[in-house]
Amino acid sequence: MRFSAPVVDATLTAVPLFSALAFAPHFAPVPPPGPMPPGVEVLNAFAWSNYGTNLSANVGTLYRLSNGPQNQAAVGLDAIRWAVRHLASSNGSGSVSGSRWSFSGVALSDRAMFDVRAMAKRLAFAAGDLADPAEAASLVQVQAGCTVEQLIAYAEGLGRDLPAMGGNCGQTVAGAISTGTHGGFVDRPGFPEMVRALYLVGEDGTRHWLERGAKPVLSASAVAAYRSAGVQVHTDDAYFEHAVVSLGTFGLIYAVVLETVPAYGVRLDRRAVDFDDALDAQAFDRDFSAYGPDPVLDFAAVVNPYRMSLQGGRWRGNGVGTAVRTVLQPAPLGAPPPPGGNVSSPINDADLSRLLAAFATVLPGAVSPLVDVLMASLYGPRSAVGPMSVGYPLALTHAPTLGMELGFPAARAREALGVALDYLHRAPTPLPGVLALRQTPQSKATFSLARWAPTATLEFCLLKVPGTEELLTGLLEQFDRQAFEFTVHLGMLHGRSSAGQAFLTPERFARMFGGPAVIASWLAARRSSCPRGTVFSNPLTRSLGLTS
Amino acid sequence: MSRPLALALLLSSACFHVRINEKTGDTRVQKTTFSTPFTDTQLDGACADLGTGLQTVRYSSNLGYAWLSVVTFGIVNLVDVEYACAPQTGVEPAPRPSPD
Repeated sequence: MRFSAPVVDATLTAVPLFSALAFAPHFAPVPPPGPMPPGVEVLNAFAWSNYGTNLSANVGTLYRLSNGPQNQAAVGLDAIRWAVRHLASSNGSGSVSGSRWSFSGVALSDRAMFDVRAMAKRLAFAAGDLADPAEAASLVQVQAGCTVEQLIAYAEGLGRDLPAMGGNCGQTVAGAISTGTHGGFVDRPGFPEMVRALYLVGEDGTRHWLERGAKPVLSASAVAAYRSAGVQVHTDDAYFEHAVVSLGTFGLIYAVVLETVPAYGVRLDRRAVDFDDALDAQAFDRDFSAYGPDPVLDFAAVVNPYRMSLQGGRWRGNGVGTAVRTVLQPAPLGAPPPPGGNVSSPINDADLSRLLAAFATVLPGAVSPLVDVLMASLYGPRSAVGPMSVGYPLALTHAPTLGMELGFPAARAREALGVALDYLHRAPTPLPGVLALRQTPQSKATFSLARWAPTATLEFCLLKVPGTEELLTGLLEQFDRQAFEFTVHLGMLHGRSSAGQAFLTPERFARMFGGPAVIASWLAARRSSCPRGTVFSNPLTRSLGLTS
Repeated sequence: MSRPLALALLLSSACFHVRINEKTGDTRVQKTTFSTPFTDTQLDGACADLGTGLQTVRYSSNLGYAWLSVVTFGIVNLVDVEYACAPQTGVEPAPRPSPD
């Protein structure tokens, strides 16, 4: 997949003798915007930290954006454009902060940040504005700050549901998309594939509408209206796949259009099990014959690494409680709840996780048994029947946490787990957490972790204990030494040594996501909305060579 | 080995939280309120700029605050209060973009 900038400057071919220097890009400065409109609040020296609390910054300028006191979407769009122009006119750079869910520095900038969480309206299409008017019932357009939980509520209010889900629903929709969030749905890819269009504001305040040419959203008349209003409409498929998972670098997303499916019911069952041959076959081979004729929609296995051992050359558990498996299957809408009702583990992690983190910090030797307690706290038994949303309640932990997720070709997932367990068992300090195993279909998005069909993922869900990120970095280096092909989830940790050296160099990043030609194509695409390349830029994207 | 254990237990004890309508990991306003039997604490106008209500309201106290209340015979009462503002939700027709 290679993107070429669609517009070629004719002067380049007319005067080939000019030196390259003569064509060094020169951009007119972005003029200062007018008076600050409603919906913008500018805060200076704002103390920001992410939810996991592993990242913090004293942000020079925070633009807190909203739809204004009357909650009007147009006010929100004007607020975004003003804030972007305000930052660009001072040659500033910044990032976008959503629910602060990411463990990576994707939202981190100490210069400037845009906070769009307040903007969470649904924007209903008129059927005449759609390429296929019948999609008025199935396309849901929401503002960028809408959380996944609210998005599901909007969809269910329309008799619709998301075709798939990630692991949680606290992220903003724009954040989940921009980092390539996925889940463990069988044959149903994650958020990037659900997205049908993006409406974003480029670095000079210009509005951009992005959709796939092969599956357009807007009708020809709507496209004409958008263009005549000054909105740049992009319908190139390759361009869209570059933009959809772009760490907030293509512009400040104002709204997202997602595809939904008719509402469906689910039956969720989560319980402690052994990591035996059966679970191994389910996790790696997707052998779900044990669950009867109903298809399995979503499957995940969470493993306590310290209850796993090599048995006859295969990694197996030492009894029930080694793992927790979650299975989601379809159920008729309106089906009665399971006997005893929809039940969850009675243990509340509220302060338990914090206590466990304190123990793990002062008593590394206690980590191994504590992981059992953590498993019971965060992944206790759960049984529920109801609309799709019952499978994905908002789950907030109340302790400093860390997470890292790696993607592998599914055919090598069993081997990858073995490498990880072997490393963890030999590591000088214990890993204060658990591993989650999932599979997800391939994504076309350039920077999606799901590069293979299917992709197996290994997610580390951890308490924030000093030394943990360094321990994970050692594992990444181990995979590298063994020439494992893998990707990282860009919204989660991706390795940093104790000396502060990032594992993810531009070379490694390019290798993970298709090679230098793909990166060059991505950079060319980004210049369409961000020719300067400096406004939507932060230390993470600069360190990867994606922004200036 | 028992000293760090005791320390961890001590640090984590006698600190409690009440969480109401928790939807987010972080909060917008965090403050320690001071109340006496004669002066109540009131937080007015929260989220007026957004026109929305509160969510993720947290009320926390700890051993130190409890002792302070005891030794002042209930006159000095400190409580940590945090809250976020609910996002602006609702439905409106997607407007055609206005010209620049």
